Amino acid sequence: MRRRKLPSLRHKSVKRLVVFSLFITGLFGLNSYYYSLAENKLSMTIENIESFSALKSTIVIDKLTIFSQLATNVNTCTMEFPLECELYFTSLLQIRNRLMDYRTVLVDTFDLSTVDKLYSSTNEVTELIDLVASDAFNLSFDKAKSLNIATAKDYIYASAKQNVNIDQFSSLNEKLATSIDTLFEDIDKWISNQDSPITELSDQIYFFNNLYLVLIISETVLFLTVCFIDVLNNNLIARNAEVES
Amino acid sequence: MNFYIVPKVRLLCISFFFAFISIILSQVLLAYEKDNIILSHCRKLNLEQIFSYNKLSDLPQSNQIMILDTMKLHQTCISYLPSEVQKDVLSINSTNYHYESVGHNIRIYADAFNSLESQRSHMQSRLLIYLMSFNVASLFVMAIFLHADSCEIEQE
Repeated sequence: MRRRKLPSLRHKSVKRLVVFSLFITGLFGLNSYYYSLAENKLSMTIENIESFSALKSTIVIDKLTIFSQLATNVNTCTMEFPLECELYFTSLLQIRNRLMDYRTVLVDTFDLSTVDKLYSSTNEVTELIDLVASDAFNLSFDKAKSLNIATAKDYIYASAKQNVNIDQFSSLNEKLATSIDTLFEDIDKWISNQDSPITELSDQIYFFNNLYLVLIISETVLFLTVCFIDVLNNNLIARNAEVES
Repeated sequence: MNFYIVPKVRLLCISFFFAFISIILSQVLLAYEKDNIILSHCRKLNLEQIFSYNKLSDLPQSNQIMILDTMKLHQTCISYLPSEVQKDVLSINSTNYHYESVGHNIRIYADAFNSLESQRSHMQSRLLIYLMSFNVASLFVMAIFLHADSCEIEQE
């Protein structure tokens, strides 16, 4: 009778431990799924922070360098139009290229809608730059490309041979300056409307660390449970049973 | 009813102990990986600041300040660095001209991140070797236990 009772007691304990280990395995599985999700989310937030920070500092630097150079170079350009406009035209090209970069980053990284005011503002500035080239310098970018013009110097020489219009230049340049100011106002508004991803980051790190903690605790507990089951199953002898045998 | 553990189980316990250490080591390695996500982000932010800083030399001082003020590493990143680094940064802040001090800070952080990354990479490769060694040790002791188990079956 006693011999029959011993395995049943052991078996009961093993059964309970197996159910417990099943629960821990489930917890581990569920937790590892959420861990992967949290890891992906954290990586995305980090990418967002990096892009946001890079965009912010680039915009400030561009505003102080490329965009302010346009305003500086316009005076020299007006003095002897178009022959002294090489530097002005270089700034114009740099701004045009930079605006294309802004649009790419805003749409691809920050999911900015193409109907957003900021997107329209960047388009407006680009269109005005195209107008300055085609109407004031009388040589559109497409035409310059077809003429194989590769440098600002060549462009100015080619433009000088056309019927350039200084009045048109002054009026378009004023419009361009105004639209650039509007663009920066829109950018500042957009930046201030964005939620700071840094506060989100610390919350996500905290959550991620907690998931990690649950992961390692469940793994350790599962290991110890299985070890205990093994010892209980194969390597444990009831003292009474042994005495009797 | 009293239970007692049969003597051969000591070997099994040693094997379990080695396996347990392997598990702990793998968890430490996972923690390293977890922290690497944040550290690589901090390193990128620092690099970004270096690029921005290098563009500032041609700007007038009044304009530089606008950008220099944004060049601060956030607290999450600083928390990974040794406290001496923060002391160095603070000592420079109190003595130097703003543009130069920010440059120094960025370089100090860059050096600190480099050194931290190399330390961690060294540590990770060590941990991997330890992990493999403990796994092998666990299997070896398990083999001895299985031999003892087999002897017992033979005797029965």
